[in-house]
Amino acid sequence: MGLIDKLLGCPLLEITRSYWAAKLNTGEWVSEARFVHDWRKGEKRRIDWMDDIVATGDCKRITELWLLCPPSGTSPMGNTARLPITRPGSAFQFKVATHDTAGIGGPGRRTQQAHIIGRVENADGDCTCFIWDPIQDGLLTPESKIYDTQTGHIRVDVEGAAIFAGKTNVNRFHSWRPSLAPIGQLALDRIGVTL
Amino acid sequence: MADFGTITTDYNKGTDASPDWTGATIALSGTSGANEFRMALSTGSQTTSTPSASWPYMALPASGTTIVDNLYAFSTNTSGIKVATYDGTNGKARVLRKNFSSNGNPISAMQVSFFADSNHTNPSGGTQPPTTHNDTFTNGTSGETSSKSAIKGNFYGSGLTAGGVQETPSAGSVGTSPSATTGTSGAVTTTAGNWLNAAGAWQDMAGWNDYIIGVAIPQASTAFFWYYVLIIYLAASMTTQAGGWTIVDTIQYSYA
Repeated sequence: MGLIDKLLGCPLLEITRSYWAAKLNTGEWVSEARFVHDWRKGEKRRIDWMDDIVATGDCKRITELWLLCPPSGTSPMGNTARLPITRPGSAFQFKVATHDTAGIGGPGRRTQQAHIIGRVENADGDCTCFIWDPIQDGLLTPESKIYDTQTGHIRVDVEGAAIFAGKTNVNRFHSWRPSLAPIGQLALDRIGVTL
Repeated sequence: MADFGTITTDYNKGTDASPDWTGATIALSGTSGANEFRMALSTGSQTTSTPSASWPYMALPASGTTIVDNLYAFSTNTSGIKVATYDGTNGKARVLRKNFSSNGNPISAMQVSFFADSNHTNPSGGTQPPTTHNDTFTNGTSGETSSKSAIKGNFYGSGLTAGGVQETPSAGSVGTSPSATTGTSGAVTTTAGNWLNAAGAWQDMAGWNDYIIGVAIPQASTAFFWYYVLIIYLAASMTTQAGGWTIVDTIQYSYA
């Protein structure tokens, strides 16, 4: 059985959502796809970033952070992304969701908009990320340019340099498509980041 | 789970001074007339058992704007309760609230607005008739609403502070009464322990063009309510829509 199968408990081709996985400096692997018995809650649950990585201090022992993505239209075999982590407390992951209420007549729905793994690069909070985007049906990387859907042009900063989906800042996390609001300041203590 | 187990919408069936939130909370779904809010005019023929397919149309004004002055919450197609404190004015504070379960771990401030549907295509301000994935209300009209959304919103604090304090408004008026043209381009951040702009101007709800952001990131693993009020306008140059108007209110949030 290969590493990915071991982390997921099944082949990458069989998953229908994304999962994070982390390698610790002890050599141990921790994967969101696996289950743990929570003695405090008296239940079996999936490995959780806040409970099992941040609360335990393992966020400072991560040496590799992975994102395991399901098959998609742009990648029929699925995707994996890997971020090497050299500075303790620089790795993070989170998900973005929307909740639509039948606000005055429409259909309600909860949608996962994105799953992000990232690494903070400096004390200013600049970060490098991989983004699984189920709406765009693919994995965005630190090299993915952002295109304006109306003009077809790439998005640029004030100096005219291209803006990349996977290059942003944890103090003002950006949006990479119009149907998503800029995410803004992240709660660094809750995602396990120390600047 | 790091995501919220449930996020529902409560409504007040009592009075502003003595609110009663015990009506069946509106959950996700919105299919076949169930779990939806319905707009109406007080002059309409609707009742609390009118099925969705028979819900009466609202007449547009001959000129200018009028206000949608009734709102109903339907937990099933024919089981509704009138939102007693919704009257299309800023006179009452305890009208609607988002109800978050205790198992979420939010890691960014919540953003809220209205869209035509769950595609979350941003409105095209002032465009009537609206095109695909846009709608009459959030587009607004180029004349009466100055291309701002016809839906105005006001939210109270963040619902729950980062330190875990529930923010609950007192009864009474909410900020400065908006007009059909009220709205600020981009995001407006709420005020801690108060209504928007420290009980000042409201915001129009136009997708991620014009929207509201909570001032703080609510404490993790804590149930809370986020109180809000709406005023919805009808404008003479709005276009009618086959099958009625169907829009969604959207909360965007992040969790770890």
